[in-house]
Amino acid sequence: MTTATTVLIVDDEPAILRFLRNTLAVQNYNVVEAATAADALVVLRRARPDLLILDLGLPDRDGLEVIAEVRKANRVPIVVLSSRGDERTKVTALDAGADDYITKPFGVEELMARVRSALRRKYTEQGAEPVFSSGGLEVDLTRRSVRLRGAEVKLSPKEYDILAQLVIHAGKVLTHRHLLREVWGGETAVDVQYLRVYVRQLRQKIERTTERPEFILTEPGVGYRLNCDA
Amino acid sequence: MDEPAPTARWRQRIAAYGIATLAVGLALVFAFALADVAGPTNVALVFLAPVMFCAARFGFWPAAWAALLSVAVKAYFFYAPIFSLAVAAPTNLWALIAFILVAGFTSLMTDEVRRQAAAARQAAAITKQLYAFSQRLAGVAKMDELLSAVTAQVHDMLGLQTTILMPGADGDLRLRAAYPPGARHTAADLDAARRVWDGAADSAAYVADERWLFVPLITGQGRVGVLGVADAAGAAGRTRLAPDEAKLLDALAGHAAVSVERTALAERVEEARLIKETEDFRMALLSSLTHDFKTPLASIQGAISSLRHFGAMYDDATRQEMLTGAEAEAVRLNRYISNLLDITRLDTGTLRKQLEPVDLSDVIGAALKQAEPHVLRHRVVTDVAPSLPMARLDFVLAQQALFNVIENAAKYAPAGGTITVSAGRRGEALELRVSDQGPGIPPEQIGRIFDRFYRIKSADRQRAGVGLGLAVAKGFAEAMGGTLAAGNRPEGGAQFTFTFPPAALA
Repeated sequence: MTTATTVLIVDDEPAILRFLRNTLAVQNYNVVEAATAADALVVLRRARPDLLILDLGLPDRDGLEVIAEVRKANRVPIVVLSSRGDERTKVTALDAGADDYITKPFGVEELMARVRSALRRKYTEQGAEPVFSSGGLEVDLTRRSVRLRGAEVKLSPKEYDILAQLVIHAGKVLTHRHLLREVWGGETAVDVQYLRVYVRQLRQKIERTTERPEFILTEPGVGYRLNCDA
Repeated sequence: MDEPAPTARWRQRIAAYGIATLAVGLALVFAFALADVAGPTNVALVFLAPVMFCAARFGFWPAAWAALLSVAVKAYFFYAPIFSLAVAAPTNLWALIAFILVAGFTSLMTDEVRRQAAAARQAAAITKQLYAFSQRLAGVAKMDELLSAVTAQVHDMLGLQTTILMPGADGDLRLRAAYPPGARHTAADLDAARRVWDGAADSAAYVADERWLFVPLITGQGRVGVLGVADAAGAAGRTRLAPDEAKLLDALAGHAAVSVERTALAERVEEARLIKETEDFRMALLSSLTHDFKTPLASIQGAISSLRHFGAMYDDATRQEMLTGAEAEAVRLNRYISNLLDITRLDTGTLRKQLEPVDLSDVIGAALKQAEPHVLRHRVVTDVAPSLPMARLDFVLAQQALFNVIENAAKYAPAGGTITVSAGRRGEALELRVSDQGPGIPPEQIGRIFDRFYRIKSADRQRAGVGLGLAVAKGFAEAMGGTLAAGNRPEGGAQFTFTFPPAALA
């Protein structure tokens, strides 16, 4: 017997709430709801959801504060609902601890893809798979080896570190800041342009064409994501 | 001998009489020379020369002095008894009287000519200054710049502090320009200026608190303001102008008034043009809202309500078709709203951008990913020059601009055709091109396709979507310091070309 996956939806728009509730329920998710930040924090403790879908525009509190509040004691994946043209807010939300975002308006395919991806990570990150394999790309984190369609790929240490970060968080958007922090560590004054240069080199080694990447996808204005379904 | 130095004018006068005396002396030398040949009585006319010279050069009185001296000299040296001022023969006396009359008459005439010439020279000098003045004002289009130019010019020409007062929105005069910039008016000054403005002070110039002189700026249409002048700050007493300075000031005030009126008119015309442009934009927006908002909404609402009422009566395929159509219309509506928002951001200057080195192939990739649903029926080919340097861009804006152009190509190029997205260098700059195999852009419409709400008119139906995408793309390109140009390829099809500055890699 399996317990259903529980999703907490936090949004004050009844129409959006209804659409999300019905869509998730029909996919056999157990849905709990909150319309305010205060409610959300209460329901979070009681229902112990496996995923949180959070609209950033709440009546009582800034959504970014809610993310910070949740992250104090909880590792539950958070998917943020945001609007287009608001890349800075997306980046801030991701840096504050959100796992992903969906831009409104969105189709149901996009929603379900994000939900599944966030949930999959929740399970895989617990038992951290040491080998990533998708669409002919194999990355073995323990042996630090990268193979493309069976052939060994030689990467520079920085290129490998970037790819490893993307593999560890496969399917998740990593902000420029996250990658700079994890790959360059304490080195200050490292600019996003270095990251862009290395990502281009990395793509030249593992992608068929750099302008049609299969593996390393660009999230405009936000960061990069490794495609798990290549 | 501690006499005060004589003024320049006195020195000139004394010099004039000195030269008159010398000229008569010179005439005397000539007369002696001529007397042996022509006879002493006929030398009288030689003495007319110094008289006329003095009249032409120095005016009537030095000429009169020369005439008197000539008479004395002639009586002394040439008329019997010689070496005496007495004149014995009556004919000689008559000759002297005739000489005096002729000399006096010609002196008066010559002096008059001299005065006229001096007046003409002065008038020419004023005209020249006025010409320079109006030349300097001619190029100025903004009122504030014009007023500063006027005050600076009047200051330079007359050496006076200069201000301009004009009525504000409430109709009361206020200081609009001053040169030197620090000049201020007291309440008493302002009262005097107001009297000049109201016309209570009838004369063209009006002396206020013993210092400022105000002149109304009058044109054929009425008063436009008041010009104030005063001696340099700190100078005591009322400001006095020499007659020629007063004349110049009047003329300058007249010119300034005309320039102020012209500029005010030009500003009103520009304002009216802007209002008209805004009006045109509103009308276009309104008609676009009616069409591009209502059409997708109508099909969405229609499909949904039809399915709600008669859903059971449709077969599965029809239901799917209606729902897919409604979803596509919703996506279209979203694109439309996004473009409207982008145009608004451009117009209101609230567009946020962060220019940084960006890989163009990355931009192409992101734009193509976004465009995927729009180019399902086209073949998309990319062609990126190897080792292209980074461009200085805002990633999101560049991606959006490129997406809009690709979407436009997909809209106009026939299904099955190829859309080519290429990137390369052109000199220092980087080029991003989108070309299609469609019918191309009608040459007479190339200049207009970036206009808002413009849609290529074709004989058949109007294409779906709004004429905003290309306007947004061009606006974004320019916001990043680049350009977007449209044209047709010789082998057929339209081509859109972005040009971006390269990023200097640190």
